[in-house]
Amino acid sequence: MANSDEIANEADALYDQVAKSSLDEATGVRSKVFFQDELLKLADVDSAKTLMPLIQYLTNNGLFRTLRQAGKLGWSARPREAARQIVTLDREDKQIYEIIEEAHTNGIWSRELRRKTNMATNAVTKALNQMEKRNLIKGIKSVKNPAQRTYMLYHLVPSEDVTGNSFFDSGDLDESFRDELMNLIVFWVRTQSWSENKKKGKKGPVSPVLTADDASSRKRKRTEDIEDAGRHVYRRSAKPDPETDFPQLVYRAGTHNYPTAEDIHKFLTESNAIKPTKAASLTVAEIQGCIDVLCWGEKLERVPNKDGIAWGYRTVRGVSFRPPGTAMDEYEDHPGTGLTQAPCGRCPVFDLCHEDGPVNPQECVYFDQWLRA
Amino acid sequence: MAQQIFTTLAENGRLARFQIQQLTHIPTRSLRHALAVLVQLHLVLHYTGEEDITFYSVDWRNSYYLTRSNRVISLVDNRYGEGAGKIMANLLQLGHARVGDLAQAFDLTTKPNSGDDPCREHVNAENGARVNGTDTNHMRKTPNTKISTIGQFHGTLRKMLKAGFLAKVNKRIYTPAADLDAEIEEAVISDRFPDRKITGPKKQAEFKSAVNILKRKWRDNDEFTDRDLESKGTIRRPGEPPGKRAKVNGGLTNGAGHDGHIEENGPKLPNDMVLKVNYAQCVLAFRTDRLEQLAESYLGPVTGAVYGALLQALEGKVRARDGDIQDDEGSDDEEDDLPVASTLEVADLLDPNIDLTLGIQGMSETQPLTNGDTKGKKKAKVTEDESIKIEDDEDEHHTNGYTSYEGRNKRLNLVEEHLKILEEHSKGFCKRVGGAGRGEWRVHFSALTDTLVQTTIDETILARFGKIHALLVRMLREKGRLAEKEIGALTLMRAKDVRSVLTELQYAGIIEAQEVPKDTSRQPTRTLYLYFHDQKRVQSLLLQQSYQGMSRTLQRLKQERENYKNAIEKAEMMDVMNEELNQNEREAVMQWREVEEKLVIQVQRMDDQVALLRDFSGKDNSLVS
Repeated sequence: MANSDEIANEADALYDQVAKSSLDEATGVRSKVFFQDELLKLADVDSAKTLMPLIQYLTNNGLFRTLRQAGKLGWSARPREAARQIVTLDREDKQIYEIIEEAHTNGIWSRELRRKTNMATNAVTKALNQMEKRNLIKGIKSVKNPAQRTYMLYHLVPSEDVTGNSFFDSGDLDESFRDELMNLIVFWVRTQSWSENKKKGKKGPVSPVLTADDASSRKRKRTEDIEDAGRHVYRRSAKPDPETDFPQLVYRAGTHNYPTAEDIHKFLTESNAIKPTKAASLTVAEIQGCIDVLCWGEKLERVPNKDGIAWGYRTVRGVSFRPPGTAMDEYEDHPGTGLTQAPCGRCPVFDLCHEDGPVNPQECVYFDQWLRA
Repeated sequence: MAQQIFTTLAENGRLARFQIQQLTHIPTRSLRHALAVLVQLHLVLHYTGEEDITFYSVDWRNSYYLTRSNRVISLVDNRYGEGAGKIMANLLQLGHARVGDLAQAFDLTTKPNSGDDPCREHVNAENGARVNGTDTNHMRKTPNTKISTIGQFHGTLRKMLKAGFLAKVNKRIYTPAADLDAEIEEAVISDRFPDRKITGPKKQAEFKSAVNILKRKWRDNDEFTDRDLESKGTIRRPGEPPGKRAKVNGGLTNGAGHDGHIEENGPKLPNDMVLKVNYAQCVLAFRTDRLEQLAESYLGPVTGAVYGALLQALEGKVRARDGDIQDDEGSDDEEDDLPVASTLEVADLLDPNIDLTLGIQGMSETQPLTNGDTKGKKKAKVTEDESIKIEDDEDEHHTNGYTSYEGRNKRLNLVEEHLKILEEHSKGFCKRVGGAGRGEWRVHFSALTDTLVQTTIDETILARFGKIHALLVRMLREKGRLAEKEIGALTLMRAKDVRSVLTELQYAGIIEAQEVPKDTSRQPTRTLYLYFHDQKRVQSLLLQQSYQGMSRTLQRLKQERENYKNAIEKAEMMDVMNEELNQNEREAVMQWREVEEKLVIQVQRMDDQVALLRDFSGKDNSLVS
């Protein structure tokens, strides 16, 4: 049997190899699990017999973590600093540490931790505080359960499940980013989905659309020979004003490609309007989520595209984007319905009102206000 | 007194006359008279059973429709002119009337009959036919929209009958629905099932279909058809060339008929035909208007107008009746039963002056307007219509020749473009189903009525709460049941913001929460709440609120009238007493008029909503009596 120094040196070499290979992973996650055959290759030893003491040494020093995966034993490397601390931990702390380590980038809720270790609350809390102080673990805030104290290893980056998607900033919903992004989508989709009528009044000052009753005043010259003033034959008519009613022209059906979620994503990530780091993390699915919200908010509507594959989107007629920097919730006038226009439709004491009651239609103050308005 | 009887009937349900008398203590003579008035106005139904006792009950539907009178009149005004509106107003006031009596009311007869109740007297059927052209001078101010000849009068009536706004009256409409059903069932049983056994699934189905067939047969017998004209109208005037008749049919669909003169010497309606307003068809027209507004808000006024024309074309193909048979067929069949309208028909109904190139990108460039040449598409359009007016003969001659064809073709293309845009829209305004007549189009009304209801709900929420509330409701409508957290994740909102909005909506009854306990303790903290939006429930909630709002507005109106009583009374007396109103009184009367107008208009608007929520689907039977 080789002496301990030799083992230590070889183990160190193996550890370096393993740590290096772990880091090489494209994902940047330092947690690759190595199985025996892989370790044999890395350690450049020929038999499991020579490997075993090395692994034993590393595990004892907290540099290797043993875990079982797919029925086989595997090992992964821990950072050296962490390992140094781990060896000094007592048994209970170590148990907690390992459970937290198990939870990996998802983190673990302190109560769950208690349940798994079967330890007293204050013991767990004490251990957690201690380890937190020594930068072994860290407390994180989960988007899903902001109230739960969640812990994970210090050197890990929380997964997206925990931090939320691009709309979250350090576990908190970034409302202004959300609003700006949606505003930007509305702006861009509008330019892409409607033909803006810039040539205002190109039809001349006279309205080309006439109806029976205003024929005499707004009639075009050529209609004068037809004595249709006062025609009462009912025909479907409209009195659009080309100056104001047609700022947007709709494209002919089936001839236009409306922007799809992918198009919108492409535009957003390639434009300079948002931070490059944010742009990099934005996914098409997230944009689709925004589009859905905008559809529910009656800002966008779905239209079939020319190619008929993906849904395209178009802004709802009359919807325009908000110039950057203006106040968020501008007052919008809603015509309401016949009911809500009446005092009763918005009456706070609607359900109490009846004849001869303390609230009654005869003496209703809301009616007073409304009638004298 | 009539009011008292009506109230009694409304509160007690079906009553025989002696029972009414017991409850109201009205003397027999007056009671009879009052009941006759109520029956005449279609406010009360009656049915005489086998024991020869006549039962009276309230006709809820017609009673409710009284609030809609103004809308009906203005609708007919818009579509058929002022004269038609007047006819309608007369009919609404009288309940129903004979054609001859109506003509008389318009002062179109030379031999006025005397009598206090024009509907009850017998008018010689010959009267109407002889008085062609005896115009009364005071109606001539705007001769094109008012009815000045008996020919125009009959033409207008005929058109409204064809469109379904008017219907023939028969005694069956006084029979309560349940009695009518019983009668039909009895007839079927005695006719087809001599053993009186209608149990068992097969027999049941057979029985049901037989009942429906008979119902339909009875109903179709009551329909106005061209036969009514031929048998009674044309025969009475032997000098009339029979060829004229064809034009009655041609008006709507073919563009070639010169229908301008048809009213003057077209066939007359028999003077003893009794007519009433068919409210159900008016509801269809209201629905058309509402859907047009909806389309307009999404796609602009021109496309909206095109859509309105499509809907009106379809409207002419359905006959709506109150208490119609609802066939319990699958939704697939339903779609096939829907009427279709062709692009041609739509174009014919459109105002020729609408510039159809507006609103669509690139249309004005690729298909330039015929602004310059006078014989454009416009002229082609002037010819076909079923106008009451005798109009511009010279113009119609220009329609010959190449240019008119070209213009017409362009116009049809444009109409088609608008229809395609409507089809493309995610609300599914219409659907192309065939190629005849430049494309046939169909509108899935039940789905669109649903959309209208949704829009109304959304607008109510917008007006009462705000944008975010409406957004959440729309999302829940699409997604079904969701917990708070999922809602937050989907709408990209903070859970606590979502919660406050949800609570408000829940309190207002617009969304509801389902409790799902996580464990057996059933503590609120350990419970998951799934929120959902039940459209049917909200719809009926809004309907009830509209009813309440209407009744309260009417109650308020009564109160306001009380407040201005003195001034009103004095103003009413003015004509008789030759009194002058002083400044204060005049102001009071002005104020009163404003208040009255405001309240009445609001009642009408709420009624619009009632129509939307209750009547548009045609499936409501809450007012069947």
